[in-house]
Amino acid sequence: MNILIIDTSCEHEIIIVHTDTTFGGVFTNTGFVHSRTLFERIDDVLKKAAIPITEIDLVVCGVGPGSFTGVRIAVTTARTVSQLLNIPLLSLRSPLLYSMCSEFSVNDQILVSFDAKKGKVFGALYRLERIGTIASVVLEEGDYAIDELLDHVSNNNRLVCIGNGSVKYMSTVLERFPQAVIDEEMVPDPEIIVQNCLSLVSQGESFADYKSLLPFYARQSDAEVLQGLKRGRPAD
Amino acid sequence: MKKIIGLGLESSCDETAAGIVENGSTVLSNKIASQIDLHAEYFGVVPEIASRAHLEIVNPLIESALEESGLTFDDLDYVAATNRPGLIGSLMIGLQAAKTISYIKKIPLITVNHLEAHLYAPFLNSSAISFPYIGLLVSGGNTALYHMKGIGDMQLLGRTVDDAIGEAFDKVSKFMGLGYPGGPFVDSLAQKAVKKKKIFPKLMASKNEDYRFSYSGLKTAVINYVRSNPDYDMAEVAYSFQESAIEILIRRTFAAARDLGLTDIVVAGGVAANSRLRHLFADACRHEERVIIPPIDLCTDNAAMIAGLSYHYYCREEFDALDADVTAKIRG
Repeated sequence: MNILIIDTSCEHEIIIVHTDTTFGGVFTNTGFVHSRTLFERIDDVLKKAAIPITEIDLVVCGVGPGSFTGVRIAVTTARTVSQLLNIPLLSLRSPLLYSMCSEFSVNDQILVSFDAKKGKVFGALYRLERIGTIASVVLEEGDYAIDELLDHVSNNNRLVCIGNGSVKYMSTVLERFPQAVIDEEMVPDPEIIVQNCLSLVSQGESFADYKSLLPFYARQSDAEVLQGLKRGRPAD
Repeated sequence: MKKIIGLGLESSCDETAAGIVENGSTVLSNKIASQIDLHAEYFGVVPEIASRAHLEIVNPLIESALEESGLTFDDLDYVAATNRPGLIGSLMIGLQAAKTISYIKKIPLITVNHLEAHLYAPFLNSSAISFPYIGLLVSGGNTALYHMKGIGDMQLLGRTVDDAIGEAFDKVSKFMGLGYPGGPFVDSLAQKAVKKKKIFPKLMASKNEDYRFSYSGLKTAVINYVRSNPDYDMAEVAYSFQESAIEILIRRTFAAARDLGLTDIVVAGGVAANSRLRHLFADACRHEERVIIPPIDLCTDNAAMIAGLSYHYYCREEFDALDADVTAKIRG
């Protein structure tokens, strides 16, 4: 199976191409200019994997939560590739993709968080139960104050923090968990991502199509929040 | 002669559109998904809501446009998208979809100035475009006058110094408790006026004429009048507001045309659908002059105009790379 994996939910781009015999992947900090950079990098990775895009069988897309515009770049691209090539899509929450690193140990708690402004982060908390598997969800992906995520961290196991959210709120994290590892340089491992995607496919994870794949924003627009407040309706 | 087929995508504001045009003129399909209902409760376009809605509809809309034209992606010679001006997050949806089509089908990508495309709209399904002409663009986001010299060659003569005319219609409509967008509501209500008395002053009436427009003063005058006259006649207010709003367009546009010795005048954009505007422009036209206004379905944002204009760039081999960006505002 030939797979294209893309995520543009934060300032980094994840682009991976996997075939049965070849592999290509990049994890690059491009800043928030994904619309400009994405195709050059997709083209580079396809060339590394020595495969034309028309031979891709499945697109895996990070759907957020993260930068609203960033997420839409990957989702629009994935949907249109799917429409043109008539191939299925697999939707993955972006923090889960970022939890797929090679440097974790069993029982590590993995806190993935991206700065979401307004004093909050887009993030999730996972625990790695077995090396080589997808981490299990402790607190699902969403829009949280960093403390809400930390409230679910246990003192019994190592806490590893990934993403610029934990860097921004480093003092809060370290105040509550002085032994926490906050590693700006820790990056997802393309080969682990591919293995996990193949595993999901083999387990019968349901596919989306180009009409049904949508971003997971985890937050309403400011205007909707304001309108809800005016009507005494809590934000979703 | 080989038929050149182009797909255009438009997502600069609150309408998602996909259109297919042959040889820059014959519209094979023109699909538009309006977001008016999503923005109505806010009495204006909410950029984030617009971006989300564009993404949800753009691919089904492309499919629908292809189906209507009886074509497939393989029949396309180029793909075009609006990339300026507009809401950044919204523009990116159409452009990103267009880039993907360009990359996979190996056809040229062409990015288009939305304003130039509006002023091209009257030439779809019609006579071939002929330059030069005066172009007046009137919409919710723009009120501007151009000297159109050629494809890609448009000189700004003047624009609004504050609100766009469509914005003024929206605000007045909101204040009077009418609906959104305001244009059709005000237009319809104004037709019920009986006395047709002039309530509001002529806009920018100084002798030192230029080609600028202004609508914030008129909007404020309407609001002040309504507040001071609780028993006001809504139809009369709508009529007088509309007359003043359109009068400055006519004065400026014909002045520019006559100053420059041009006889063709194109009026385009959403407000060009206003029935009174269409009537007054026709009335103001001298026998040697020609006012060209697109049919109603080509006045509002659409993608046939994007595909149509892009044909000329295609013929000139002016293509864009896949790192093309979007721009919120344009100068000049």
